This record gives sequence, C-alpha cells and structure tokens, in this order.
Amino acid sequence: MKRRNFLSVLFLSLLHILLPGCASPRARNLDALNRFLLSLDKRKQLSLLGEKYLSLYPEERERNLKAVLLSEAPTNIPNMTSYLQDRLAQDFRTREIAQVSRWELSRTEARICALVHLSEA
Amino acid sequence: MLEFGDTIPSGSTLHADIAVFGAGAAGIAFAREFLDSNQKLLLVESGDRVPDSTIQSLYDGKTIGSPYPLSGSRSRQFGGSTNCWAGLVARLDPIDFEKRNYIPHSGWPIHYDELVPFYERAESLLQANDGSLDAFSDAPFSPITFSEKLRTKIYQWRPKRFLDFLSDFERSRQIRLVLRSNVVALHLNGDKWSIDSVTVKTLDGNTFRAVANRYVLALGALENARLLLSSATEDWPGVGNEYDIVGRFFMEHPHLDNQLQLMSFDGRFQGYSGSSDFYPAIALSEETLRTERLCNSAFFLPVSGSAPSDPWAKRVQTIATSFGLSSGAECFPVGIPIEQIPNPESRVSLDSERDILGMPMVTLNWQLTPEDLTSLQRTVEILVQEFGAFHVGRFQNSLKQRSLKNPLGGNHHMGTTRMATRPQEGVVDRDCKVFGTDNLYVLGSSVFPTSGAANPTLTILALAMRLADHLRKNA
Ligand SMILES: Cc1cc2nc3c(=O)[nH]c(=O)nc-3n(C[C@H](O)[C@H](O)[C@H](O)COP(=O)(O)OP(=O)(O)OC[C@H]3O[C@@H](n4cnc5c(N)ncnc54)[C@H](O)[C@@H]3O)c2cc1C
Repeated sequence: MKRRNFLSVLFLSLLHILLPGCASPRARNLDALNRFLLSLDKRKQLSLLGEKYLSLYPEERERNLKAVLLSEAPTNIPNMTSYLQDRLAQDFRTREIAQVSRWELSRTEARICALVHLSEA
Repeated sequence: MLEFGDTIPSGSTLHADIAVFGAGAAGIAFAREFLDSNQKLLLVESGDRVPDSTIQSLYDGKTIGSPYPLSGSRSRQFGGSTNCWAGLVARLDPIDFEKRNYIPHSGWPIHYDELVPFYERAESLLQANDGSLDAFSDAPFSPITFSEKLRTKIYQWRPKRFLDFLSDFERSRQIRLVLRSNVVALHLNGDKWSIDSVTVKTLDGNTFRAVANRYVLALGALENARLLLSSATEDWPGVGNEYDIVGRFFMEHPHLDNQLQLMSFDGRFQGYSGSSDFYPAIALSEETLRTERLCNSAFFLPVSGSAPSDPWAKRVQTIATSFGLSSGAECFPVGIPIEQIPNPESRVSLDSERDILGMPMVTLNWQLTPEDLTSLQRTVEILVQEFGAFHVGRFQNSLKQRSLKNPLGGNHHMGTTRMATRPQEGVVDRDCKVFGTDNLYVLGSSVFPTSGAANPTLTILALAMRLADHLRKNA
C-alpha cells in the first residue's frame, strides 16, 4: 500500500473510532467502502481495467457508483470484502456481467475498478 | 483368408452369407463378431495394408459451403480412419438419444440403455472402461462438485489401430477379406426390395460381383451416402432415398479453439489436461441442457495451466486477489467441440465429375445454422455464471458472430443415412436396415440422427456389434 493511501486509511479509521455512533448506517457503509477502496493494492492495474470499463460502458460515468454498490446493502455491513464477494456472486447469477477486453467480469468488480480509476483521475 | 482384388478373375462372382463393404472401425468390429460363427462373410476393402496415394485419391471431392478436407479427414486403407485417428473415446450421453423438442430432427429410435451392453463390448475391444467417475476415482483430477449445472465427463485415449486386427482375418476360414477392391454399384431385383448383387472394381480394371443374403455398407459417412445416391436412376431416387434424405443432415463436431480462456482461481483444474489414458472435460449437466434447451458440448483444457501472462489477464487476476478470491490463478486455453443441430441443407450430393473408377465424386455442403452459435453462446454464458457465482474463475470469451463462419471439424462425419422410425424421417431403421429394402444394412456414424459432443467411434463400434448380434439371431 502506498504511503498516501496508508495515511488516508489511518485517518478514516481514527475518525471511525473517535466518533462512534455519529455516522448514519449509510454513512458507515460508505465509509467502509471508501476504506476498502483505499486499501486496494496494485491500483494501477485496477485503474486501467476501470478506465477500459468506463470507456465501454460510458453511461456508468453518470451514475453514483458507490451508491449503486451499496444499494440493497444491510444497514451495517460487517465485512466489506465478503459483502462485495456476495454481491459479485449475485451479479453472475443475475447476468450482471460486463465484458472488458473480452474478460467476463461481474459488474461489481468492474465498478470497483472504475471507482479506483475515478479516484486517481 | 486374405486376398487381393487384382488376383480375382474378372467376371467372377464371390458368394457369402453376409457381404460387408469397408474394413474400417465399423466393418472390422462387425466382421470380428463372426470369427467363430458358421456364417460365411465376405469383407471387401478398397485399401491395402499400407497407405496408397492413388487409392486415397478416390476420396477426393468438392466442397461448397464451409471448406472441408474431404480426403484429409479420412484414410482409405485397411483399418480405415483408425490409421490416423487420435483414439479419444467416450459414450454418447443418454440425453443425446432423446427427442428434444428444441432440437429439430432430434431423437434416436433406440434408447441409450439399449446400447449399454454393446458399449461395454466395444469398450472391452478397446481396453477402455465405462468412463464413469467411479472408474477414475484414483485419477489425479477432481471432478466438478461446486455447481449442479456442471459436470466432469471423462474421455479415454485408446488409439487402437484396427490394422492390428488383420491377422484375425488372415487366419479365419469363415471370413474372406479382399483388399484393393472397391464397391461401385448396388444391383437391385426387379421390384427394388432387395439387393441382388454388388459390383466391385479394382484399380487394375478387374470387375467382379459379390452375391450374399445380406449386405452391410461400412464405408464411412460420406461414402455410404455416395454409394446409395449413385444407385439412383432418372426415374428413381436411389436406394433408401424415397424421401430425398440420403446425404442430407451431414453433421460434424465443430471445434472452436482459442476462443475461450479460463482463469481458474485455484488448483482445482490441475489434471484436466489429462494423461495418456484419460482426458476429463467440463460439460453442462444433462438436466441443465434440458432446462436451458441447449445442444451438448464439451470444454477441454488441452494444456496445463500457466500463470496469467498477458496484461489484461494480470489485471483480472489483480481483481480476484483484491476480493480475496485467488492466491494463485492459472490460465487455460479451452478447446470446444459442440453438437451440431441436424440440418437438412447440410449435405452430401453427387458431382458431375467422376473418379478413376467411374463413380460420381461427392460434393459436400457443410452448413451450420445461427442456432448452433446461439446454443454455444448460452452454454458459455452458463459456464461464466457458474464459475463466477462460485468464485471458481473467470473466462475470456472471444466468441463472435463469425466464430462458426469457417468452422473446423473434428474429422467426424455423421448423419448422412440417419436412423429413424419412419422412412419419411430417415434412411435406416432401428436395426440399421435401409428402409424399403430387406437385406441392406448401413454401419458407421452416417446412421447417427444427432451427434452429441462425444467422439463417434465408440458408438460406431457399439452399433456394429449390435447389428452383428441382430444378424446372427436372424440368420
Ligand atoms: C485425424 C483423425 C482423427 C480422429 N480422431 C478420432 C478420435 O479421437 N475419436 C474418435 O472417436 N474418432 C476419431 N476420428 C474418426 C474415426 O476415425 C472414425 O469415426 C472411424 O474411423 C469411422 O469408422 P468407419 O468404419 O465408419 O469408417 P472408416 O474408418 O473411414 O472406414 C471406412 C472404410 O471403408 C473403405 N472404403 C471406402 N470406400 C470404399 C469402397 N467404395 N469400397 C470398398 N471399401 C471402401 C475405406 O478404405 C475404409 O477402410 C478421427 C479421424 C481422423 C481422420
């Protein structure tokens, strides 16, 4: 993890500890998603995938992707990684599939890459 | 007893109880069933014991539609195409015999269970087992258990050269094997119900006749149709061809290579590149084929997995790692043979040009339909969905609209004298007897009404042994 990302994660985590109960469940989920995004390694690789995804599916730029990813989420996501794992499994079941460079990806994983790309742009 | 057509006096007549034409996998498997019988068999084969380019050139022909290697996909020699086959064998699946209302012209007049005893006999000839997962419980690969929609189907490598059976015939007193002899014409009695005799020609110009109580054609799917079609006259469509079906419904197993790549997230597909003995394939369960209304197919991983190497594969691997799904991804190219939907326009017909024996050459018009691709696309989609939903892997899918434009075949020729319950729908009945005749039978994959995805030869052998039993019982 890069130093800048590490510091951001640290900052958000501290906020979370220092201000318990202040945030709404939605904000807490958003916060958890942000921390997940910031914790990702090899961001360049993910960003390139996200960039390609957004060029193939430009309508995604108009969406609030974080809100989309958290739609139908429980009020308090206990573990963001397993929440996203379940979500991408569900994507495959419901044919929420995107083709990027001919790789068949779940929308969720493609959107995570898109968010990484947008955060770096 | 072994003879050569060139030494048989021109104009003579050879008599037998059963005359078999073609000594490839089907003809040999059939004839061997009579080694200890008291019936006299005549086995007439075009080729010799070694390849001969002039004899092989009798397989030349023309293609319209998808390009196809007419001569390169078979071998005109004693042992037939088993002289060059790969020897991959598997039973058809029970569903392949069913009438599936979503596949036009599907449904065999026989049930899978009827063929099981003959599959067992054919497997024992090839020293194979029944291909069940139990039979391979110790083999170093793991059958698919993560999804009920998928299964592992095991194929076996048994590249037996049927040429090795030559000595059985050389020693036999009951079976007269005549090499370098080509059947060129069927002669019918006046009412056209029975074959009276068959004309045989050699490349040296010898011509003789074969006369038998029963005749069996085992010339391969292109030549079986060619011979029946060439019996037509101006006012008669030819043997078994009252409904213009002979030569129609030509099927192959279209093969797609390099159109699909699997990234497996863990080591579970190690062993799927097989061994010299077995070759597991990924397939849809029969239930899924039924409910999704799909044709059969198989997905092979021909080489061992390797670490993702191209940039996009590496990126996909990075996502899988980010989501905690994979620690050591492996990529596999996927080879796919598919079942072709029976299509009456996909056909063998006769050309105006003739070969050196005076037989009209064949013209092959191999045609797929858009539904073949649609079925494959949905099948791939199911794989993508199941592998994705169970966190097993991802696919790179290069299938396109044009993917089946110029398909490669698997050297499997099928369907040109299809088996049916009525002459309106086929050329032979459930006993492989040509409709409208009382003593002419056809062997080989030309009788397959549908092709499944399994390589055809095990089923060809089973049908040959079944016909041998039938003719022995009804001698
Ligand atoms: C490269 C290759 C790889 C293959 N791999 C596999 C595989 O892995 N698994 C599998 O199941 N199948 C495979 N096959 C197909 C397999 O070889 C055939 O299914 C099988 O040989 C068909 O048996 P058959 O007896 O019906 O026809 P053939 O084996 O073709 O035999 C027909 C015989 O009839 C003779 N003949 C033809 N015309 C005349 C005539 N007018 N008069 C007299 N005799 C005649 C021929 O000389 C030949 O001996 C492969 C084929 C090829 C070419």
